[in-house]
Amino acid sequence: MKKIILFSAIVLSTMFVNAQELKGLITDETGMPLPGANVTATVSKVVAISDFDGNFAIKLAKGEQIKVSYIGYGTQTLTPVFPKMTIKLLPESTALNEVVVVGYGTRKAIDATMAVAKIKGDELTKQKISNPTQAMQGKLAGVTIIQNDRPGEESYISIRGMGTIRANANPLYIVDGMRIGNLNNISVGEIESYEVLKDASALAIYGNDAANGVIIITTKKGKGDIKISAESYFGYKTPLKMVEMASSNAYAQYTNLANGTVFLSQDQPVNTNWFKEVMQPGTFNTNEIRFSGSTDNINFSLSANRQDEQSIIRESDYNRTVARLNLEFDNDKKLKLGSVFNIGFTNGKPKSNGYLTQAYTLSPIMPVYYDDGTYAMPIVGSNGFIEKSGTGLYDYKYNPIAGLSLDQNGFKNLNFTGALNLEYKLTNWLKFNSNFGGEINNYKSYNFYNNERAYFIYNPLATEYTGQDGGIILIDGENVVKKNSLERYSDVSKKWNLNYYLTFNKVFGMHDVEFMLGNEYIADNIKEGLSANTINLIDTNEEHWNFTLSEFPNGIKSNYFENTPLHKLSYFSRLNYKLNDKYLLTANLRYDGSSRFYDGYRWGLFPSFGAGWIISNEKFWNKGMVNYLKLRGGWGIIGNERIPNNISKVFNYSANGYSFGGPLEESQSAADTYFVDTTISWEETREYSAGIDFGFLNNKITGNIDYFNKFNQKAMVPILPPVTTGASQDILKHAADLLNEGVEFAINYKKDFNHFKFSAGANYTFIHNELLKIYRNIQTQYFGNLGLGGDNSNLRILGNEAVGQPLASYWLFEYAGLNDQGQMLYYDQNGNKVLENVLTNKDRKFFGSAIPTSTLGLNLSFEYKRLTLDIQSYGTLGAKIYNGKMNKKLKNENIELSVAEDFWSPTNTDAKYPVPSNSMPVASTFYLESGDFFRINNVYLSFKIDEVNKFTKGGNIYVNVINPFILQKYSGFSPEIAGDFYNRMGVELDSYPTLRTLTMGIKLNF
Amino acid sequence: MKKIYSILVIVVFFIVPSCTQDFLDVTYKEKILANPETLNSDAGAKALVTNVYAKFLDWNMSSFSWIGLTSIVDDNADKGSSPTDTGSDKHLLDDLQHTPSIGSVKEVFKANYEGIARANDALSKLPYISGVNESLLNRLQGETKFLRAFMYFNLVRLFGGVPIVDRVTDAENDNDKLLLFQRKPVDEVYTFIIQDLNDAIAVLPDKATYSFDERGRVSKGAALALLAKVQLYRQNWNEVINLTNQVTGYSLTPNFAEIYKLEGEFNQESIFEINGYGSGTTPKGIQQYSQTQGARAANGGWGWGFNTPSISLYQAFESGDVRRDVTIMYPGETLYDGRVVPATAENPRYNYKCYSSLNPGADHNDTNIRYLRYAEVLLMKAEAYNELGNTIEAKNALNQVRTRAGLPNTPANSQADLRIAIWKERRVELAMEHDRWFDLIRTGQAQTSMAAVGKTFVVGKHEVFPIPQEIIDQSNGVTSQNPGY
Repeated sequence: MKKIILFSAIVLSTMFVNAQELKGLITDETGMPLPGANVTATVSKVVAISDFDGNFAIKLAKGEQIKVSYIGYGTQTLTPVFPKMTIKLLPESTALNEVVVVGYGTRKAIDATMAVAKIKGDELTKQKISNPTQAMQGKLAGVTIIQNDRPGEESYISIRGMGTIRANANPLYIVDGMRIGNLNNISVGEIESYEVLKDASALAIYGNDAANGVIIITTKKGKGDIKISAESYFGYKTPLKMVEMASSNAYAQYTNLANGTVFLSQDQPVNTNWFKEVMQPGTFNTNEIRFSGSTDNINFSLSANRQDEQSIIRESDYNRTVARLNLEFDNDKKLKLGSVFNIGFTNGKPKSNGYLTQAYTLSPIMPVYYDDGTYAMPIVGSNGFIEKSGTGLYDYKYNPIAGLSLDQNGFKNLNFTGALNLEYKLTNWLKFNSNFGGEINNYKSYNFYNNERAYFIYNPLATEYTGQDGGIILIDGENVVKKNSLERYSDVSKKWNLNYYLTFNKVFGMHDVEFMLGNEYIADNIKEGLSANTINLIDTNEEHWNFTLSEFPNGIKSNYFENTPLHKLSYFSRLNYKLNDKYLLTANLRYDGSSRFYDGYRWGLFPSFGAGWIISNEKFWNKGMVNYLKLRGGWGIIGNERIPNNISKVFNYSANGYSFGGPLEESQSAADTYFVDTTISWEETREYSAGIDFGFLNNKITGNIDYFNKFNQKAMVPILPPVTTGASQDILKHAADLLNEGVEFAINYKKDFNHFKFSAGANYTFIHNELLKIYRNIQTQYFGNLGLGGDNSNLRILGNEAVGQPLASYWLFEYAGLNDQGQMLYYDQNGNKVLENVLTNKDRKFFGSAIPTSTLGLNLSFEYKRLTLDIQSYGTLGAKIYNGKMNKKLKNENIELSVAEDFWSPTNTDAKYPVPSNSMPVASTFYLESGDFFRINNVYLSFKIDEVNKFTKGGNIYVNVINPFILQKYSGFSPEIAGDFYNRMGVELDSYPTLRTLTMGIKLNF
Repeated sequence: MKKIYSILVIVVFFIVPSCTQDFLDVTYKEKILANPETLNSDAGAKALVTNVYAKFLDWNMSSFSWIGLTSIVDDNADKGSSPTDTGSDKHLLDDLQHTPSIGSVKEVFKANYEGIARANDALSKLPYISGVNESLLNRLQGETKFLRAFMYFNLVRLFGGVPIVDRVTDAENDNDKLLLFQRKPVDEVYTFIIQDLNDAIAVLPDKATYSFDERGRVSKGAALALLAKVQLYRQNWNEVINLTNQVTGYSLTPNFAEIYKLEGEFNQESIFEINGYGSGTTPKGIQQYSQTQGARAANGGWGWGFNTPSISLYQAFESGDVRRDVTIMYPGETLYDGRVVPATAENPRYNYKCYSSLNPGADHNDTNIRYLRYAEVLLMKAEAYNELGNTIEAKNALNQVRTRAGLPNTPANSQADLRIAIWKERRVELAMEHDRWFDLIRTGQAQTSMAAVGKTFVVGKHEVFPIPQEIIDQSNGVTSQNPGY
């Protein structure tokens, strides 16, 4: 051992004896110095970094070469020219040489015939958000995202339009080759890149799951020396826009008029701003640490991320801890083995958005507390003021602040995903890959409500609780007073997928052929769970994770369930052919079987073809201004099978069927669920698309224009079977044709000046969405009811009437102004102005959709020496927003300031708002507003820190403002409201507002 | 060589799992009986039939909509409740303004076909069940056929001719589609009902042979009484006499009020009733049947206050008729169990017959609906004898019912007077028991009786309810609408 050390020392010293120092200057193609370029000695692996002026110095052994690399520039290996040399690096045309992940393989962007959009991770880190999908908003053409700022919830996302009616409309997420259901357990900081597959030529390789698009996420791997980086940021969130409510006296005046009697004093001592009481500034704090690095054979990245967040609703809480390990073994010859482990813990104490609605509706004359410190209630005395001893209950018994304290619930989620990837090069031209991925998720929650305490709060004069207000339940034939109740729930779900594929790749002269063939197994929805309910807990702790039997004087009711798993089996292949670097051809074929469907309808074939022509590689092309030009086109069929299990002939069993005079006897039958359509299979979307990719001025300007036409001719619609079958459940049938047609446009500009780098990007998407045809006789169904208003407060319809309209259309009565008594009038089907009591559904019409027709993104980036400034913006046109919260005004609820200032009265007959009323108006165009908006959605300013010492290798500090500014036409909180598009999408009621976030943070590398 | 070996390994990798096509045959786990084999047992066979009975506890079958169609509509009852609370469409029914698209019509129509589907499901399986003795299987088929006949009897009386769905159908099959959509003539529906009831009579046992815990099952007496009622509607008077004479082993409850209490369930007078079960952790009653009709008051009430006995019904009781105050409860009244109806209750009268003492306002309680009682058998017998000219037998049967009600014998003597007297007796005896409206149509009194309470009965239209618009739409016009709608 000693000998070896000695020997090494001799060798090394010999090397150093023979070493020679090389000095040099590294510049870009224009001669500007490049700071931070990497110079590596090829044998001794000594590394030097160019300084701020592009200079470097390195000691080299005799005969050694140097490798010079810099991000965005081609790596060069050079023989040193002593003592000093100037090295000019040439930029890689990044947009073109970039590799994109295309599903079971990668492809150089320039050789791809398909529409794939990519965002790299370093762009994402310039927006300090916790929700990975939100990071894509405004950055990609063809991707529509409706933001949802509630902690732990996902944004709505659609890729090239809404292609299904009642099947699952989410895109398919693939993270490092694993299929996962959502991105809740992925930390944004861990993402290396997003690839969004948009057209059939790219998607058909994912066959039956691909119709809504595929988002492929690759996470970071280790590179180079062992590095440690740590990042910490914190910030505040406040609603981007608030709605002003009427003050106490204005409220009292309006409410007295609505009631036709003066029962509230119009000189109120209290003026509560309920929004202030219910809301708080949301705070969050994220800390992240990452170790990464690589040796010749192994690279690794290990990270941990902790995020704490308080929503803008008081007393809510959310936190998440994610740890991830990427480990890869690569012997540089034949074998590559990779593994990924991700574990995510989420804890939360959520509070419902309903509290925001309560703040909107509750009258300002009520204080939060009475003078004695107990919770106030909407009760007035004969003097017209809020009084504890009053008798005039003028509103529902509630106080949201009391509600927040009564409503105790919590959840915990533990998610574990893991993957193993194997790649084995059999020969230079044949490669075998196999991937296995699995996910286990454990969710648990409790929900506790203290009925007894609630009763005393809501009835401040009550002295005894004997189960009033529905607090009595029957147990074993005896009435029991329910003092409190608890539901505890827990489930475990699992999924896995396994695939194998062989890739053949060989160049024969001018023919470049790649052929891939594979096989995949997927098992999903393996789920079981348990819920337990009990009442009258003796211990009424704050949290309810643990309890013992002795605590339940009235026993436990529990329920256990197990789901039917879903299995899928697939075969897939792809052929890529390139002739002479000019002509490209791609063909995909996937054959999928799914256990969701009946035998005979399980298997589906999904083919696609794509072709490309790189015109700029033709000899005749004069590379003047336009240095790169490619035409692409494709056709294909993609599917969607994500519907509930298509089960029939199962037994509907009840242990409590009927009593014949004795105890209840069990009943069972196949009758109620007997009818399902055994012939249903995939929804099939046929898409054809074409695009142009271009690069001007040596790729300073790059971009693309795309057209697509997606036609789903087997869209599933729920249909009620003939009444006389007695089947009580609606069934899904292929019944409708759906079209999404659109144009996408993206352009990027990039220019580097002396010390100054500038880039700008813009993208625009137009989508036409239409329900073309319903070709079966379906039962008209109504959706989107606001609640309480009966059928007249439905907002949406699915039936023959909706043909020719986009999805998520509003189907409303048309407002026709006020009559001479200030009452709202509506147009009936004959165009007459009528009062609401004579309206029928026949008088309704369509007035636009909640889905925008155009989306626009603009991004700017500046870099000057140590400073980086990024500005991103996003806007949409064509969407309509329904002001549901204003429509649903119930008896004696508060009004907006705008209403208080301009309602009809004999002295204000040209008012905007009707005469004060206590009844909820019908759903009409009066409450429908334009959803057009333009928002600066991100501003990021960063200052780079130099290397401090050997251990602290620099980093950056930054300020980030998300949504600093919005231009919107809508009068409410937010023109972005996610939700089921046939239900509450675009309807502002119990929804969470868009937030403005101010973040400060620091990142350091060690 | 090594390469070829590797390729072989991979080929094996591909092929071996590919052969496992049964990877796609998953076991369905939701809603399935722990062991479907249990069908082949007494309990399994019974459970199929219990499911048909259980349908009668459902909201759409026996509650609000059914109350609207068979009670609020007639002259014995008003809509009740608050003037502004329409109960969706109950005000329309009360005013005879109902249309094909109102919810109540749709619900009752659908509910009966849901029950029929359960019956068809049971009848399709029972013959193939093994390990169960044949007499039990026969009896269960008899019970099922009775229930199916009962539902068709309700459908034909409510809607006229309806599609006869007599087996499990496949909605995708064209022949079955016609079966599901095409209305059959009224006579054909009655023929089908009579066949089912005759089949039931042949296999059902007498009520007395059922054990205490099974006394609520359909018995031979029930099938005979229902068939008698069917023949009454068909005006086959001899058949009515023949059948009612076979309904034996029953007698009138001496105290009329006892019939409607929990203790009166399945008593000597009871022939067929739907049983609400109000005890235990999971009570299973006729969903909200009693709640929808319960006394409505801001404080101390227990129900929605619908289907209130009319002033016309109140006045129809002769003085001294004990039945009046058993049928009707009044604000301020102290009920038999000591509970006081709030004096501030919103309506002047409520239906007392649906009152549950234990849990009056609960969704599920012990209230039963008495569909066939011995008193009605006597009245059917009286009507049939009278129509055949045997006024003595007619009066004899009628007077038994009057005596129990605390009334003197009928003063009517002529056939015509006696006919009116019997109809009147049916009105008060069976008040609020879902019979009056059908009786008015059957006896041709509807127009005059409705006029007497200020409602316009359109002859040629209102004898039946409209066929729900839903099925007309679904059938592409194969299902026809009733005249006038």
